[in-house]
Amino acid sequence: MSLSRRASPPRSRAFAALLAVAAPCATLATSANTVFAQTAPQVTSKVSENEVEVGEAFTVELMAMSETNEVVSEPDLRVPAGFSASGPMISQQSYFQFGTGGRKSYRGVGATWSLVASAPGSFNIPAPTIVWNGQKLRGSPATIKVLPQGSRPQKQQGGFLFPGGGPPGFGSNWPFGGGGFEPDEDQDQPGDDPALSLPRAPNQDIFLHAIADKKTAVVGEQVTVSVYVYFRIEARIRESSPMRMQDFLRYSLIKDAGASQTTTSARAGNHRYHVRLLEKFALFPLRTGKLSTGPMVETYVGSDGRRLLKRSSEDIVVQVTEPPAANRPVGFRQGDVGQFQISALVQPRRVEEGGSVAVTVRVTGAGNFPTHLAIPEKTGIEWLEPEKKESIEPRSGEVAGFRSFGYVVRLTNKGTVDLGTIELPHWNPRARRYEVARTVLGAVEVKPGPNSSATPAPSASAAADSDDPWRNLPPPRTALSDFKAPPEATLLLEGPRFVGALVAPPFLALAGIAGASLARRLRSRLAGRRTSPRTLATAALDDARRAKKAGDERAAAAAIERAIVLAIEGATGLKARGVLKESLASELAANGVPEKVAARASEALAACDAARFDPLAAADVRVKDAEALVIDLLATKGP
Amino acid sequence: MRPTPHRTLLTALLLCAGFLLASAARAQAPETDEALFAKGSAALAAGEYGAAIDTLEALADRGFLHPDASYDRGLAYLQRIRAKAERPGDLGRAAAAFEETLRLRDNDVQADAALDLVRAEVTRRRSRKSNATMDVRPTLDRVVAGLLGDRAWTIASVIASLLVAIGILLRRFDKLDDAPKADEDGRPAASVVAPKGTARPAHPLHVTGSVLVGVGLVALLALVPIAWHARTLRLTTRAGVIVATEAHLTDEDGTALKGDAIPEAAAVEVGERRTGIVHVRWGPTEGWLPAASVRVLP
Repeated sequence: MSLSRRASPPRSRAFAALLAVAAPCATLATSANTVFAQTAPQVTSKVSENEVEVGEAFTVELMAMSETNEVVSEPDLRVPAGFSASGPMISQQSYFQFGTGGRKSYRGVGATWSLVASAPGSFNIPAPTIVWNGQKLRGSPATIKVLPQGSRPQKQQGGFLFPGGGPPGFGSNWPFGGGGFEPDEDQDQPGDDPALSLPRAPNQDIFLHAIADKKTAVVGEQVTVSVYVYFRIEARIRESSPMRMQDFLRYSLIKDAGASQTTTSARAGNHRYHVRLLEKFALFPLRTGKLSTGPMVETYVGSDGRRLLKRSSEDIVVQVTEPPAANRPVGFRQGDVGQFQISALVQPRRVEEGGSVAVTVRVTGAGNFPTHLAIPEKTGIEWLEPEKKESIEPRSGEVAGFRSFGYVVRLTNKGTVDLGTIELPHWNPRARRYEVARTVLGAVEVKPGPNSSATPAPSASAAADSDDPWRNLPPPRTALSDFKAPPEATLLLEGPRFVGALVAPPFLALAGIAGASLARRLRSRLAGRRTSPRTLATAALDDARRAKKAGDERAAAAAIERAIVLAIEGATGLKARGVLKESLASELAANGVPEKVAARASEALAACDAARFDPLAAADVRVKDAEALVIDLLATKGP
Repeated sequence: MRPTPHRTLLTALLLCAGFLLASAARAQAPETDEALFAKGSAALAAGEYGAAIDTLEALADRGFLHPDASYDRGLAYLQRIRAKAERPGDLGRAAAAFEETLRLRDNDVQADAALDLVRAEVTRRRSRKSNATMDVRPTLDRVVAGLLGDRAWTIASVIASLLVAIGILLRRFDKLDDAPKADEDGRPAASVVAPKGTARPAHPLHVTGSVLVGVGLVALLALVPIAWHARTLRLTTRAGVIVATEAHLTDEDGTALKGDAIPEAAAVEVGERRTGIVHVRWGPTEGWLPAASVRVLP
């Protein structure tokens, strides 16, 4: 099986892909041309190796980046004789430059060719080119030394684009180079890296795994992200899409990481895999929030040459916050995070009035270097925009170096002028505290110039005053006057309370009216009950019992008569006293009283009537009988 | 007892350690708001406007609210403008500081005058560029809602509701048996003797109740939406000031909207805030602006 990188799509297809990438930006770029001056994209190029063997693949990469995402097209590489080339593979590129004045985003495209030399020698690879706005922009040429095959024993033989040699113990067909390939060798080995072992493998053949050294960070704090490929099969890269990392300022650490040149092994799930570091970045978060890097996606071609294996790494999410507000020093700017020292050089120290001195401030250390320094501005000293120089690169896994700011400072006041102190407050993530790096600039002697006079001409001064719209400004306030902050505006009638306050009064009014009406009815009903014939008949029976008990037979008979009359009235509405005794029974029957009950009532009333004058007859009148009669009468429903 | 060399050395070491500890404690102790203000105002008085701005902005970042601190911050920006070291948005930042002063102390004459000066300068600069639009009228709903404030509108709504309730009660007055039943001579009152179903003059309280119910309902219909709108505005919007040379409104996707750019130092209404952008209303026009273009007032 060939170990060379599989040929990428033909150039026409690649160009179409490039157009597809660039097309959405074309309209924007065209309209932007009417507003902004066009700026040519920065074009850079590099080769992956300076020394390769015959048959060994290497890459040439061209990047065209610009702030305005300029449209570029037709990437081209003129390959010297003796080389076979595939590509270009087009990718979208973007990165951000972080600064206190905002952030600058650079976007563009990258084009990567894969080359394989067929003969030894030293070759000049011409600069790759790309067309922008009708102009051909060039990268830089490179010289590559091609050695005879086998002269570098540890180098990979194939075109697989992982740098360095293959894993020891793998077969000769193994695309990553090295010795015998033993796919079933899943026993733990002494050389396995436990730090890279995983509890589960997302894929059994090949997969990508991304890890970050931390899950939380503050704005501007370095987060190191590494992407590894775990593999157990033969495969070749066909396409590769890097992580987007759009919310991060990034530096590549892959060259700084010596591990990138070696392959190690580690266990993932039930299998052992060979592991190689693909990418390593120092990322500096640009804002707060849950920021994600996006996954790295690679498509591999299986050993049969047809099966495509698309693999994605994890999307690394970092929770980014601001450094603590407590003890935050004055002048701290978000993103100034690291360990910094600051020094300054001022020269000359003696100038004439209106003259200038050069102030060079150098910030050294490691971390997210500030792009702007807070200069000690004051009246009589004019600081021009600084010229920046820097040497910032990965060192031992972190981004370190220096950035210098060269200011031209114009002094317009005579005498000894104190330039003040430049301070750089920053958050030190190692010490987890704020620190202030500072440098004292010292004083400059400003001598009167040849054209200066002790006092300006009155007319000139008056003219200057009349042009100054701020001449009547009052002086600053040097002490805090009495002030009581207004209380937080809280409304008693807020939300549901407001709705309640609106609804409650009419509702309560209606409820009150309904309640009063109900109470009136209840009162009336209660009063009716107290004077109803039923109630009065019951009371008369009670009187009869009491009279019987007291031996007053006449009174008892009178009470029983009253009870019966009231019961008749309660049952039929008939006033029994107004009816002739003889017709009472028939009248009662006509009013719905059963005949027997009517007859009993008529007899009982007659007995009571007789008892009024005859004490013996009165004794015959019994309360129990009367009570039963009253109950029967009251049970009668009217006609 | 004579001090030995060892004892002298020990004393010196202890003194040094004490001094270092005291220095460290002093270095760690946070500056009070008042001390920070004093530092800022002293820098301002000395013409060190850069330090003054940094200090007074840090004070504002701490959440310290005082009209004098806001006022000095505005002056510091004006001092930078006066020193010809102006940065884009300085006039707006000064205006925001003076607006803040006036919100905290509405009778601050100096802040009012300084704000007028800033706005006049912005107008002067825009007139040079023929950008005439400086002021816009607020829409009617904002005018009405802002006329009394949501507290007053809420209270007015509740009063209207109470009027309806009182009206309902009064309307029921003659239907209850609370009306006088007899005059002084013991003769029945007209409303009692009048037979049922025949027309009789309505009781004055009943009439009053009917009027109150009508007036109250109309007032409720008018006042409740106003109170609700004013409350919504209070809860969802904040006052802000433009702190860019001029600000062009866009839609949510960042496409520029038609219309004039909002001038620096203009007072705007800030609504929804998202990452990096804020929704802004300036008179009848509204749209989105970069968050850095607007300073939201406390």
